[in-house]
Amino acid sequence: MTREILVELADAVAGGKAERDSPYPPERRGEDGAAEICLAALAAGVSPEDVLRRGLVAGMQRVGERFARGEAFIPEVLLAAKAMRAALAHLEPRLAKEEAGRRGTVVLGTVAGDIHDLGKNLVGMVLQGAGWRVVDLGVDVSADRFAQAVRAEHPRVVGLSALLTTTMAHLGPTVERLRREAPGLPVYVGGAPVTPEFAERIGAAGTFPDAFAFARHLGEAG
Amino acid sequence: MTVEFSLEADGLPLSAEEVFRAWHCPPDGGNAFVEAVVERTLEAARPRMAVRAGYRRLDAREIDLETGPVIGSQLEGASSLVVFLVTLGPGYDEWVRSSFRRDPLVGCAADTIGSLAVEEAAEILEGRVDAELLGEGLGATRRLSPGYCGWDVAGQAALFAALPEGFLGVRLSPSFMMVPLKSVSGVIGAGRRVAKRPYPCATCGIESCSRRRRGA
Ligand code: B12
Ligand code: SF4
Repeated sequence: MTREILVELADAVAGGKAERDSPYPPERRGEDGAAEICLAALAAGVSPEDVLRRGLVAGMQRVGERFARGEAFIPEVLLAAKAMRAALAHLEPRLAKEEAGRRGTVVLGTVAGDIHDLGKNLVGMVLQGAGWRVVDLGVDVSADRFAQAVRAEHPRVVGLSALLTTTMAHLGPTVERLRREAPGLPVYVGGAPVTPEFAERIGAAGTFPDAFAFARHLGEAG
Repeated sequence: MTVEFSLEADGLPLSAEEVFRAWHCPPDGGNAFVEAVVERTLEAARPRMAVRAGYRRLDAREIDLETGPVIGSQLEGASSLVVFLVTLGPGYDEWVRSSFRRDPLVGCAADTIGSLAVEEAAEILEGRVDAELLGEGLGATRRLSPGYCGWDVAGQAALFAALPEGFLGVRLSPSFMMVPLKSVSGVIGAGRRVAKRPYPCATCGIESCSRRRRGA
């Protein structure tokens, strides 16, 4: 029973079926969506940890793999993310108490002087779908605010985003600030102009060209 | 001489197909539902755009744009420089953000539509400048922007210094990012001895460049 309901949940997420009333996918109109299945699983006594890992994360992972193989396009990933969020809204309050079920916390933000957040938002969405708790500090975030968040949230990972080579100049000092604040805390950097060579030069833990590659790496790393 | 004007968002040639091209998707986005969502987002997007465009024409000897050699050679021989700016206005960025929070597909569509729209607005501005110059018997280069074709993004500083304070309501962050985000800046060279030459794409590493994709 547990196994079946979790497979059903993973299917709903991967297929982008968010709620019973959602119009997508048209052929599943009227059927339960990720939100209802998530609630049913919890009511049946499935642990929030299993609901997250074997339901939501499994479903997002399936879409991510299809995307990586070129079998799914961006819209399908975004529809799956919407379904994942619909379920997570019910799961979130339960998870806070069951911290062990999660991979840990990631603090994300766009660096000072930069207001571009779509890339960072996609990274946050995909990491949530991979089972991370995401603390998003928003845009134009100073090194001090990142340091404050590290003190308050005890993240396992920090991710910094920048759109232009000129705003990328804030990545180095922010990485440096965080190294002083929390030695050993991996700080990743990303955004259109960031290269692996640049990441290495500023002492970042690394960079990834897209959200899924980053999530895969973090999954493998821990 | 400084010129400012508004553009009707309805007049910008935008389509769902363009959005899907930017996403490397099939022309219908993969299925009819997705296509309908993007079509609807396009309709919702237009009224949220407050498209403003403007430019200032200066004697080429009046300013040094520190463009670097590649752009420098494009502008060679220009007797005046037309420094331009286009923007969708501040409301659009906020709408993209709130859309993404509600629905990631709608949010991403809104973002891409905004990027395409501001590029189209720049295209229209370039056409107007070309026509104005042609009327005076002058030729024009293509539009060139800091951050492209080997011109450092820091070139924004010199461009903005050439424009009136607060021009079109666009502000430059200390690290040269324009606020609102959906804004494009650049320059067009004008003179008897300049013409539209191809962008130097063959020697440029920027594969994802939208101007390259236009077959520039
Ligand atoms: C769309 C676009 C625009 C749009 C809007 C900007 C926007 N994004 O909303 C418009 C047309 C307005 C525009 C304007 C300009 N642009 Co522009 N733009 C782009 C373009 C084509 C896509 C950016 C984008 O939104 N991508 C989609 C998002 C989802 O991707 P992303 O942010 O990169 O995030 C992904 C990854 O990078 C990664 N990631 C992001 N953050 C993080 C963090 C971590 C930790 C990790 C691991 C990964 C990661 O994962 C994300 C999701 O998969 C890029 C080229 C490109 N291919 O990237 C140029 C680009 C960013 N633009 C560029 C430039 C120069 C400009 C202008 C300065 C030009 C000008 N003079 O007008 C202006 C600046 C605008 C401003 N406000 O200041 C340059 C920057 C080059 C440089 N040297 O810095 C680029 C790279 C194009 C180029 N020349 O190569 N631009
Ligand atoms: S691809 Fe072509 S148009 Fe784009 S930045 Fe490079 S040279 Fe310029």
